Amino acid sequence: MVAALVACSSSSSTTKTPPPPPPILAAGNYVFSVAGTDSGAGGSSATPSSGTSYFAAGVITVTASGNITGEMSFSDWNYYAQEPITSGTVAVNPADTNVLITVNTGDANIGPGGATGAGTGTLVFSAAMASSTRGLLTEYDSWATSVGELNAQTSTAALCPTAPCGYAIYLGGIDGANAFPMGIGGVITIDGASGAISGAGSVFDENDAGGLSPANAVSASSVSAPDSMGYVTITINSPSIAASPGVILDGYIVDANHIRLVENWYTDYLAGTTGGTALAQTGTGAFTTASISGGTYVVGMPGADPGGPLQVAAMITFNADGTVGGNWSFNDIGTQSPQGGTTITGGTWADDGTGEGRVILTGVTDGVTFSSNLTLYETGDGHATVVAMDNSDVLVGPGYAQASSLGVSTLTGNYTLDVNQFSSSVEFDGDGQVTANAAALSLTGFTDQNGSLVGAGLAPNSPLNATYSGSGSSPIISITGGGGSMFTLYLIDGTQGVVIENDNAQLSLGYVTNK
Amino acid sequence: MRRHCLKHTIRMIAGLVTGLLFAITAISLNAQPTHSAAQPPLAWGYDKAHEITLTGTITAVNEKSAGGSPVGLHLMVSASQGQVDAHLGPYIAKETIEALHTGTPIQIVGAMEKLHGKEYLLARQVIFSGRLVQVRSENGFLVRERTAKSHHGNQKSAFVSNGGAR
Repeated sequence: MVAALVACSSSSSTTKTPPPPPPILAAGNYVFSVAGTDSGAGGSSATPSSGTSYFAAGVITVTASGNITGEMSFSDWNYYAQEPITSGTVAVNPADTNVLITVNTGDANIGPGGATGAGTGTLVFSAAMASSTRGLLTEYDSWATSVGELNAQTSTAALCPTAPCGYAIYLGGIDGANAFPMGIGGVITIDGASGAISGAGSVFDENDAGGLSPANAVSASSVSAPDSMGYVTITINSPSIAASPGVILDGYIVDANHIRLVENWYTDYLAGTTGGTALAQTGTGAFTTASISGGTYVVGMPGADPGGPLQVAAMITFNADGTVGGNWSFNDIGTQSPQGGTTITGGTWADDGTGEGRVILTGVTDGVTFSSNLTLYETGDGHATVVAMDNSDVLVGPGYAQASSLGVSTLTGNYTLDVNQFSSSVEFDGDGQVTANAAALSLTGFTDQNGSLVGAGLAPNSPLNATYSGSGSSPIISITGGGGSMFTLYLIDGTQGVVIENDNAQLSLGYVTNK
Repeated sequence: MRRHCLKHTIRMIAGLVTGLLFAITAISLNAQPTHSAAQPPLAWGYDKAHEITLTGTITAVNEKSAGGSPVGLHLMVSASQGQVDAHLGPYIAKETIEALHTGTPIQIVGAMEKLHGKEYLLARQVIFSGRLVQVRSENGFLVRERTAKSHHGNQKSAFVSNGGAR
């Protein structure tokens, strides 16, 4: 979105309205997680590696002087590591007010040069700070591009002091056999002492390039005790996975409700290059039809279909009569929904009856342009994870319960955003800060763009200008750049939303949250 | 998610510069849609139930797709069915592309799909010059050609505390 909005305004007399300066990171621990595409890791001069999907997550300790140490996990098709962050820095981007976070691992397999084993071991992230404790991330170096989130860490305590504790999870990425797109969603329940998982109350669904493996049981599994920085290993075994350990996830505890995940394909049997998040459930084991009936969830799901990258943003209503309503926008460049999305006119939903908060959506459609089967996993506190379970696409992502009484006037004030974008199936990303002027129905701000993989390099402080419109009683807002680029914003509540591009210039899927 | 096929033709407003615009990065600040998104989206997917095997000769290798067409590599193939636009996508390795030449006999397994009123052969498997290239999965998902694995990760790398190459 960002680039297009920028594009549409670059020839006019742009007036940027700089939002208030954000706080630079206070001393303490922060958890970061990103998903994106790199230029290759773990290769050698004789056999350079090629770029693939990649995931990174970790914990950094920021000192009062802005220095960094910590630990992190890195995973792409070629290379996996869980390793220390030996040094790093925090500084305000001199071009604007985003925060640049540099982490150095000393690992020659990652960072610029990593494709030949001569890497710097250094990754740089741009953080658009929504508050002193939360930022939206875009990678900001020449080697890779990615988007994600930074959160102040408020707990390193062992998970689940009082069992049972359920976690709704999602993992997206590529499989280990062919690098096909893969998505996994599920509920994992710790129901024993010291992180023991019996399998009761746990289930996961897998979509591997349209090959579906629904409702997989979980056998005896475990979560390790955290180390001093809140790093845990989550081992998930299943009769559906031929050997143990089935799936090993490196987890970084943000707080009692959020764990950032990177798969350790180096050790597990699934061997996927995946990453995602685990969200703690409230009311583990007690979900019913009534838990979600009448509610609406906003979802943002990146993925793939036979044309390449695919993005979906939607608001899905779980009508009390078991039908599905709402609005849906998709884009795979070859085809896309019109600005404003299309109304969901068909589909049914049903709680799976296990109490796990697993909801099956079948035949979600506008009757004309798409149909989709989804599985959603509730958290009980207004969040969810979602995976597509049909054979023509792979989609996975988070969901958010939508508030009521939203309208175009809801979008006002200062926001941060990050946007995951693709041009000709090559990823580029951006993050920044934007001010919505409700009186003028205009958006102004800036982004830091990483176009390294599309040959455009790093573009700091790119101006962002657009107009928006919508109904006073609808959470769907149309955003238009001056050159005709079209977007749809689905408001989640008064503070956040999911945005998608609705034209064939490029793909854009973003998240916006207020400051 | 399945996109339904629409039978009517959509008028393309895309100009000749569309491909060039796509070739240039979207961050070049010139990214603009090539047609009105008010038009209903056309449908396409991968109809594996109706796969065909096409045998012919390459007449053109187009690395830059035209606007409104599937992104990535296209091969124009002369076959008994006529001229066919085969879509191989954006993930074909450079060495593979360099081995594809005009006049080369080729066999393609794939499924025909219509996008914006034009027929494309979505290639799942391509055989030429004694090589077999897997382009898509059985459900039509594009394969990203990967670097040959340097070694399998049964042994942990000496470079890092816990990890290694595949």
